[in-house]
Amino acid sequence: MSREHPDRDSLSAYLEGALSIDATQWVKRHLEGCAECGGKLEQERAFLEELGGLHSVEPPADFTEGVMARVAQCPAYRPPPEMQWRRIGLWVGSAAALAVVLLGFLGWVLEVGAPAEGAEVAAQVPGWITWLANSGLNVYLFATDTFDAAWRLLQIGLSVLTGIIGYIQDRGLAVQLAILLITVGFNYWVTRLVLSYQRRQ
Amino acid sequence: MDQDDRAVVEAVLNGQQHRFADLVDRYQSQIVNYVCRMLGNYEDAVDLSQDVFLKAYSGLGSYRPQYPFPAWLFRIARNAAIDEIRKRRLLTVSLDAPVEFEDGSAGREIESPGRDPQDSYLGVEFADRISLAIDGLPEKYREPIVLRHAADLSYEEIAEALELPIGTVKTRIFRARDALRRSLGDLFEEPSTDPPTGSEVQ
Repeated sequence: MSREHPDRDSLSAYLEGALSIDATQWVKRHLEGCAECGGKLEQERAFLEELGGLHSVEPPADFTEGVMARVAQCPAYRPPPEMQWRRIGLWVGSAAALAVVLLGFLGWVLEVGAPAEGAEVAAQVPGWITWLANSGLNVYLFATDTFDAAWRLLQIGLSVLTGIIGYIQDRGLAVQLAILLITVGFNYWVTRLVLSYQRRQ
Repeated sequence: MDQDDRAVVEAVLNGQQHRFADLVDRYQSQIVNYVCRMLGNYEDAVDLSQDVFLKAYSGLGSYRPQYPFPAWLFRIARNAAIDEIRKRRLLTVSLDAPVEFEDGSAGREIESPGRDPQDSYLGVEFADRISLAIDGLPEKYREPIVLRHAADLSYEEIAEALELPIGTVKTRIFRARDALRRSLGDLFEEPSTDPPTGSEVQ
């Protein structure tokens, strides 16, 4: 680009929006007061339009169907167990497990839902063992990065089981049912959270 | 890279094979135009373009999302077109060489140079002249100008596809346009006072 007039390449780049902001402004201002360059610009525009005619063929209407018929013969991709997700799963699972352990420990220390004084205890499984088992399960499931339906069902099933073990402790039906629901709900929620985060990435 | 492309690629890699059709729909016109311009034949271009998409599907696992998808796709198309052109060159024989038959040799029958009906897509005479002018460009100028105007790629995408600095791409495209103007002189060429230069501006 000369100081007096923009050269032909600059005019063509100007038309394509390929100039820097400063250069675009300069050419624009120049064109406002230069009829000669205005004429060249129109000539350049006509030339680029002719070149645009190079994009002149259209694929046949069944092009996509043809490709997809061949693609269908290839195996579909399966998401590989990415290390990244395994790490995220491990962290989320560990956090979930820690939260569950702390809550369970707190409940045990504070004797939330403990049997009434003098009541018979049907089994001697301490509450924290139940929570710990559930936590270990969480860590394992998240760390192994297996989130298909079968694994989720297993996870929920095992949560139910740990809830039932908690019930054997005879801390009262209402409390044990609440523990059961919280455990299952928590597992399900964390799983959904991880899955939705994974989908967004 | 277009966010949409990235989402589609991810969906395909997550097992939604049918979503690949979105990418085919989106880029088929550009790819067919590019390949057609490189090979000079519509039917061959359609066949090769289908192969290009199939290769893209097969290689999708190696695609890196930080890379513009069109550039990646056009690199596949480019390699496929170059392979095809090389294959054809290997098959080229001298037109003067007699064809051997069991009962002796005979002259080779040459097809009429008239345009094949399938190739009549350009139709207009002037477009034919542009086509011929582009075919006459050296490869290093022809390819970027085809990518720019037949495939509608941006300068950045061309630079990625050809693995060249963007300055080189611009220079080659401007030079190619100069050459085309000279070929189509009566309409677009203005008397040039620029001295011819042999080096490229990076």
